[in-house]
Amino acid sequence: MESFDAVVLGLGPAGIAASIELAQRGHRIAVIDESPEPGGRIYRKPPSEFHVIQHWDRHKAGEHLLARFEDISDSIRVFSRTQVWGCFDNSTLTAIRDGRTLEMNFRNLIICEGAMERVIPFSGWTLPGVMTVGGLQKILLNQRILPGRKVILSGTGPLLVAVGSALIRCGAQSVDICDATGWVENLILLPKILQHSFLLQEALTYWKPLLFSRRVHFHRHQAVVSVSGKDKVESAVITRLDQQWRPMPGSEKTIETDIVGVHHGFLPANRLTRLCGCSHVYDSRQLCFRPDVDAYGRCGGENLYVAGDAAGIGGAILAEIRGKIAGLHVAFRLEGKEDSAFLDEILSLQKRQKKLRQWNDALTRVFTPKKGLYEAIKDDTIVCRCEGVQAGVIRNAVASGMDNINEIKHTRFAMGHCQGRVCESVVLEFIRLSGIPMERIGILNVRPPMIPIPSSALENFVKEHLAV
Amino acid sequence: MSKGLEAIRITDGIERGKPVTIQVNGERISSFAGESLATALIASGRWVFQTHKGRPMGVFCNIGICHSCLVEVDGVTERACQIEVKDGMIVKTRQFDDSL
Repeated sequence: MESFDAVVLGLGPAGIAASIELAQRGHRIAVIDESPEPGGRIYRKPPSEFHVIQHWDRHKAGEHLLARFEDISDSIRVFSRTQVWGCFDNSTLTAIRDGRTLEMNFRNLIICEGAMERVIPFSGWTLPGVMTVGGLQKILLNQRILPGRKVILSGTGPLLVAVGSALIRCGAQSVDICDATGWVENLILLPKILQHSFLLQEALTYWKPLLFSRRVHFHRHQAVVSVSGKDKVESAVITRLDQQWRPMPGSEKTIETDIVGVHHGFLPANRLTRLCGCSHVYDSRQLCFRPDVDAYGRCGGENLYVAGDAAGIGGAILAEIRGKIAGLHVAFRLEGKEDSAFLDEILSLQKRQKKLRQWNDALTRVFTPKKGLYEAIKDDTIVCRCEGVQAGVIRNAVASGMDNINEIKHTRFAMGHCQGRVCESVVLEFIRLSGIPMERIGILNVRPPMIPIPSSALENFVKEHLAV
Repeated sequence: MSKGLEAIRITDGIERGKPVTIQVNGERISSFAGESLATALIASGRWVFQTHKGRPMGVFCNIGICHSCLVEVDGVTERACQIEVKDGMIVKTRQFDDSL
């Protein structure tokens, strides 16, 4: 079994920054990522088989970081197309690559699992053609395919504008953007945007194609509440929302559409930190769990770190800084130096985080979902996509006294392939809205294998361990 | 497998990989190296990747989390969004009537 001074999981901005810090100081490290190429979801380029004549802006933003990683990648053991499925004794990782299990030992582990999208279900959301806005963005930017001519985007947050812009650029016939927030609420973000040149630049790039396009329509304080179609979405009903995001009866309007993109912000991905037994706190402002980390990103134990969005949603730039801090701190400990220069550097990075955190707080204030959309989920709407468990079944389970989220598994929620990743945040809100305090709700347990793996992938693993 | 209005491969600013042919439920479809199986299916107008208790399902998260896009590839269940097309790949859509 190979051993490493540090293993970094995930090659988005945080993971790349952490690995650069460690590799350039000569530490023996490994990085693991599910994708064929580094960059994470945010800096993912079109596949290497494509010849890109013109790069789009998103890729330019990550160029410096990816180039630095490339320069140093010869000294790093890179496991791409590899997925971690277990972690044992805080020292061994098990992962799957090409259908086989591989194991590695680590002295330190930096977890940069990134983020995933929050989606609040509505009637018909399991129909093909309904997808997450980030998933749609990947089809457009990474695969360069326009999957439909008429598109509706529904939810909240800056991603709606970014993807609306990409859709116009790709030649979509009509783009209807339903945002649960209003223009006025969004205006309070403007002074913050003006404080950061990169935000201003980003905002301008996204807004420019939208402002003068007749193909885009903004629907403020509105949301998709149901979709219908035979084997694929054909039309959607949108309605107005009140201040609490409750649909207002009588305001329904039906729009024909090819695609519906949904997105209600991001959630930290924290399966591995849960598996490792790290403690997590519920963030009542962002409505999600995040690992309880110290100033360096450590979460329980000396040798476990979390950085980037996995440690709490903050965006790519903040992720890079937090990855760097974690990498530096691991290097500091590995080298056992009494070097104050290390701590000075960490301190200056921590100062840089402050302003970015203020920006992030403002985003949270404007875009965090309000309860109306959760309350509006009809009892016959499916919440758990994998097992087809309806909202009413989950609400009844809560009403019958199952107040710990793990008990709700009796309904088969979280028992399917995704293991609750997609709908856990929804079920959590159902329980919370019924008045049960967080300490009784708890957090969904994660056990190995934390992703579905074929039993054949365990063959070599079992043989080796039985031989001992 | 239902076919919808065909999606458009964007040609502006990009050249695709070499042409690839895959077989889906016995039908040959054209794709390009570097495309994911999910986008290759969408680009050919195929949106239903599996049916679950009669419910049609397809690509949803497109980053490997939700497993809504499971298909059978050369006899193995795979997430269509996480797998790249290869020449000669045999793909079958799936039907589940009961919970696993």
